[in-house]
Amino acid sequence: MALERVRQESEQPSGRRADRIPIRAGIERIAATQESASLPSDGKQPGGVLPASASSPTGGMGELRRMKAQLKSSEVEIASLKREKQTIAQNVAAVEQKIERAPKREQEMISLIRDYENQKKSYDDLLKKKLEADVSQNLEKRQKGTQFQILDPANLPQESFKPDRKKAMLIALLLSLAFGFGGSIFLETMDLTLRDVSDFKHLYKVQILGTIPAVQGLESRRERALRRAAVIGGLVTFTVALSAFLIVYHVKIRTILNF
Amino acid sequence: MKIPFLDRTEAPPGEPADRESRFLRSDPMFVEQFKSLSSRFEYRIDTLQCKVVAVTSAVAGEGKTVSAVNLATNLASSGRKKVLLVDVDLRKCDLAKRVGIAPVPGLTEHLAGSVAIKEIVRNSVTRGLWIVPGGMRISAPWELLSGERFRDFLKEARDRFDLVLLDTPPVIPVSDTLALRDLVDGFILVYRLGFTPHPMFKKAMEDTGEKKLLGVVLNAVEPQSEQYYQRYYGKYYKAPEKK
Repeated sequence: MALERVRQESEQPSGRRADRIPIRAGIERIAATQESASLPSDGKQPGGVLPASASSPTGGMGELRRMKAQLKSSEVEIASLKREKQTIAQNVAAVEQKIERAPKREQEMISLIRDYENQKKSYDDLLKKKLEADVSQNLEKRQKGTQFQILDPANLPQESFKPDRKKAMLIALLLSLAFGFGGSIFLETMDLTLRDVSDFKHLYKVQILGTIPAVQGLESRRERALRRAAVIGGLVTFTVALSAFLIVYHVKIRTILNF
Repeated sequence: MKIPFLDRTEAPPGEPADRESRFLRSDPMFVEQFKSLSSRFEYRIDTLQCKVVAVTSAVAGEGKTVSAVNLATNLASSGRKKVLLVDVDLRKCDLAKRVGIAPVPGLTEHLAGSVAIKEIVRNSVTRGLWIVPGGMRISAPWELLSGERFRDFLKEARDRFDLVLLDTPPVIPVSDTLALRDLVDGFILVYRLGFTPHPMFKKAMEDTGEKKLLGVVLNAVEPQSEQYYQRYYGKYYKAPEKK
């Protein structure tokens, strides 16, 4: 399109050039007049055919000078126009050269655009990765105190560290035995009453006239049942405690017995 | 605790026939033990020529009144002796209440001089047994028991009865029984097993004097197991079947 426009401009005469055509025509007419006045050979008077103004010698000289000056300026103008034309031609050539190189530039442009898009895509990816890395870094900084890395996983203990049940059972057994036997001995020591006829006979050499059986009332029956329950409960407790002790320590006891 | 009359089938008037009394009356083992006790005691007093015997103990609640009533009842019911049971525990005077007779007039009133001896000696439902109740309760019976009227009472009772059983207060808490030491022929000490510390019994024995101690009655003896009695005494201790 640019090429078409340049051609149209070159073919179409500009307003200034059109304006200069009458001037060029006038110059050519004046030059032709001068040539006819200088030709004496053909016997004709130049004045006979000359115009009225030119027929005068003073008027003709001024006109000539004026015409010469005009011719000179026209020549200058023509030279200038030639230079301008030459410049324009150079420009046209340059433009034509550019126009000739346009497809190549277009290919280069397409290639550059493609490269630009690829680079932009790569940049976007990198930017996205950077943002993700920043987010991860911030998250890691925030969760630094709560995140642990298990280097050596802990093993579950085979036995409870505290309380030591075996020790507690042993202590409980010993304490119960101590309290049981100790309490019985203490109460028996503190009790100064005689419980049996044989006890009385052992202490006193007095004739026993007779014995009266204990009244089997409700209270005495309850007391007797309570005493019997206490004895049975004590025996059961002792048996259970001893059994538990033997179950817990049977390995050690067996080892001791083997030695 | 209500004192049972072992040979009475009905509760005395005014006495509730509670379960414990009925149990004691119908328990053949209890009856047999007291019969055995009475036999030994009778042999003992016959041997030693004792007519006035005091039943006492170291502390209260050992079974003096139960022993005295049952001894007197068993001895009287045998028909061989006329027995007078006297409530000398003038601080409590609960013998009459236990056996179901009027408490006054009693020994207190006689020693005070207000009534004659024949007015305080009561008949009982048991043949051969007479009872003298305590009368009104007094806080200081020492003067009455150590006085001349009590000596006269005992002298008359000794003349009229074969055996005079005195239900006395305990030895350790009060000194009333010690006032009787020169008036009685002998003592019976009741000791309740599992109740009284034996040093207190020892002290009571020393206070009464071993020379006058006829013997000891052991109360609250734990019976052997039921299988034991069933095996050896079962057929003898069976109560008669009701028709």
